[in-house]
Amino acid sequence: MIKLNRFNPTAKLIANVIILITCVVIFDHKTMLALLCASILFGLTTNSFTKKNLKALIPFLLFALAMLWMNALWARVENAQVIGSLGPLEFTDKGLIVGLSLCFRVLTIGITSTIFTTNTDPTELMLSLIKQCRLNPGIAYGILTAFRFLPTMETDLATIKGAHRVRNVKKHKWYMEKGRWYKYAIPLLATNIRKAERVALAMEARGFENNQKRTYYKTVYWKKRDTIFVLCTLVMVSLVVSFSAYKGWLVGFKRWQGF
Amino acid sequence: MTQIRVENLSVRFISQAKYVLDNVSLSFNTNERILILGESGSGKSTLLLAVLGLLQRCENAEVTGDVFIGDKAVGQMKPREVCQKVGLVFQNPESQFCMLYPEDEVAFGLENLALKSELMQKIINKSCEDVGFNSRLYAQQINNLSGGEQQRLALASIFAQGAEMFLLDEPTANLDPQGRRQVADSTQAAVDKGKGLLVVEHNLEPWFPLLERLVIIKDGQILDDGEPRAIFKKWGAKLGKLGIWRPYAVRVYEELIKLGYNLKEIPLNTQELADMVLAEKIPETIVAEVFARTPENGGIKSNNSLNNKTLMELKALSVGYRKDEEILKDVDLKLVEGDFFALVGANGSGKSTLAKTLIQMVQPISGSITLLDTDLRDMNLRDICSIIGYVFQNPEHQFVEDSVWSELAYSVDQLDIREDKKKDMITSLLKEFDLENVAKSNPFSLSGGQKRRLSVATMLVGQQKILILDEPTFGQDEKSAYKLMNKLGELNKNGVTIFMITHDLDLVEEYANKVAVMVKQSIAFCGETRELWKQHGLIKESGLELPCKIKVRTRIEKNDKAE
Repeated sequence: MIKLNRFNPTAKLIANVIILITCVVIFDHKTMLALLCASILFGLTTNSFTKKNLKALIPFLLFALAMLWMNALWARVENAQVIGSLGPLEFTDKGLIVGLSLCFRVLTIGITSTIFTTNTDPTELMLSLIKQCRLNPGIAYGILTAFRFLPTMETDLATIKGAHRVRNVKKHKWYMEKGRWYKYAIPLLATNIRKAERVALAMEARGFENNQKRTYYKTVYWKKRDTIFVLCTLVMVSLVVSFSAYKGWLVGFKRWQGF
Repeated sequence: MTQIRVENLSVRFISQAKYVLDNVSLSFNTNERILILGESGSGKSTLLLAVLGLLQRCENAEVTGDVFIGDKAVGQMKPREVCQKVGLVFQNPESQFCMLYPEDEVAFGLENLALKSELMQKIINKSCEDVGFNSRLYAQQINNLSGGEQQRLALASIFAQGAEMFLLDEPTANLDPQGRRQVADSTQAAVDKGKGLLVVEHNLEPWFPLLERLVIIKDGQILDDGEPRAIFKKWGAKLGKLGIWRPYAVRVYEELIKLGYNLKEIPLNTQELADMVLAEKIPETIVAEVFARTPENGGIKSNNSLNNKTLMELKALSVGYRKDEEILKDVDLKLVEGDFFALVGANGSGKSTLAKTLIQMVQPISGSITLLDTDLRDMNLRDICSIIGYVFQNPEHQFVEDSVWSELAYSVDQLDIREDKKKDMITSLLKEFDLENVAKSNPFSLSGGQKRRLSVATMLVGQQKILILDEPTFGQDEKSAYKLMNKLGELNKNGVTIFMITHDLDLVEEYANKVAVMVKQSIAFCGETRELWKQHGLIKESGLELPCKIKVRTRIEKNDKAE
């Protein structure tokens, strides 16, 4: 069993980006299926398919199936043969293939990204980006603070919605059926801008300056195993791609054919 | 020890014509313990920010004059040099951290000082221990800590950096009594280690006699500076007229003098007051009379449960977002017409959830709520809101328009009345809630007290029978808090039933006739307010604190019994 959280976050990010880029440039369903299988296999060996992660994957799955369905119906392909129909809806063979490759692509990206995010500590990622990628500390700490604010924003939004409902109990007029979204946005923005201002002041009060020398309590190192991890990902991806090129399946980047 | 000198400091924010600080000069040593007193908006927080040199770097503030730390002007110092002399703790616990975990947060300050990372662990552990931040909490996310623990962490952070003086900007304003005690204990610990304090605070009870110098700021200028007892003696009741809050014990002292009883010196907190009253052998009847003469509420007291008509009844109510996770367990509650009802309890005991259930923001699992003899489940939000007005904890959440006038107009528009009547109604509301001179301002630009009054006003246009308020005095100074409370008392007198959530038992003692105490998700006491003061064990368990008056009287009674 590979323990993913022991690897350098940047290495994991690079590996994820490699897969992402590969997914974007490959346009055939067989290679995509192979990549999907590889990522599922990877997920299994790292024990990443916990109940929580599977739940997080549900939206990806729904989106992937929707892609499949829509493309089988309406993909812009030439000389397509109708292979089945459901009332007035007609499915085409080439559309189905476009749909399949898009569906596999969404799933692959979904699975690898979920594995990446659930196995990476945000603080470590930022520290590693500062050290390994020379990210500006000001930006890195900004992102971390934003990360801390996210859950409170969610509860704030729920409260604001409730508060506005209490204010507006009059029967809705037909032309304002839906709540105007920016009415929620203003109070949410006001609270968060003020919070951000205060955090910035607090950071400065604690002696933070953007371009000064600073040390780090926890250091995230780049070890040999991180290089190996990235290389393995590269090798795996190129193996899959070259095998499918050898078999003649591979279809590279071409014009968007989706619906 | 370092000397800090503020010389002819004036501050103006670009958007405003008025100077927030106007030619302020002040000098103190970093080992002194100073309290700054003044109304909201009198420039206290601004002064703290200027001492740290933060305002001088701020683009939208115009600063003249100088602040010297030692012999260096603060503008010429680097932030990391300043923070080794003075450290700042903010009012709002949650918006002063930039890391996810406590340990990293303390380390953040040390990293800024470019300290060797091997040394950090030891310093972090030691400073957390010194201010009483438990190392078991290291593994918890900062977001999940209680307010008191968050403030302790903030204290640990500046402690670790080696600041000689702690600048505290209303550190307990957003906390419940337990959090306040935690902060007071931690500050005391820091003082024992030789740290100085510069405190801006409205809740004075825990801070005397720890703080030995008092600076009073009025309209951006220093009104007086000196030993607290001397200042209170010199100014007497005049301070109150200037809008500056004096400790309750001081006001009792003044009343005692009027009745011809003298104490050997001015008591600064209830503890001292009780001691002195006992020492002088002042009879209990006199004390009771003085207490009756020093109400905060101008004599408004609810005792009129009008006609014993039940407005709202909760029976065996359990509430939760999921079936297996109950936030409220088995709650029984009855609200009678004309009540001034207080729901009290520590933060996280389930008070807000209970109130939110009443406007269908949270759904009950079991049990029933009856509102005016109708089951709540059979009502839609429109029906409910024609009976209940609800004021959220953060008034900003309720604002939907861009001026105070149109905010009220929005509410008035919900009613089916004639156009010209609507305008009259808005004008009278503006007058009634003292908002006339800000009618054209944006609700977000108002002061804390004004925002709260506006949100109450918007909720009362439909002649609602019940007004629910979630922590109406949260984060406000006493003056605006009591202004609002008196307004609520008046409304109550005119027949509006008030249901208020709070953790301030002093307010409850002044205003409420009925009270319910929540401990760990259920109701532990429900009944007449005066009955609650006998339940000392319960109050201790709930994490709340007895009102000042009750504390003094209990001390005297105990003493009488002993003799």
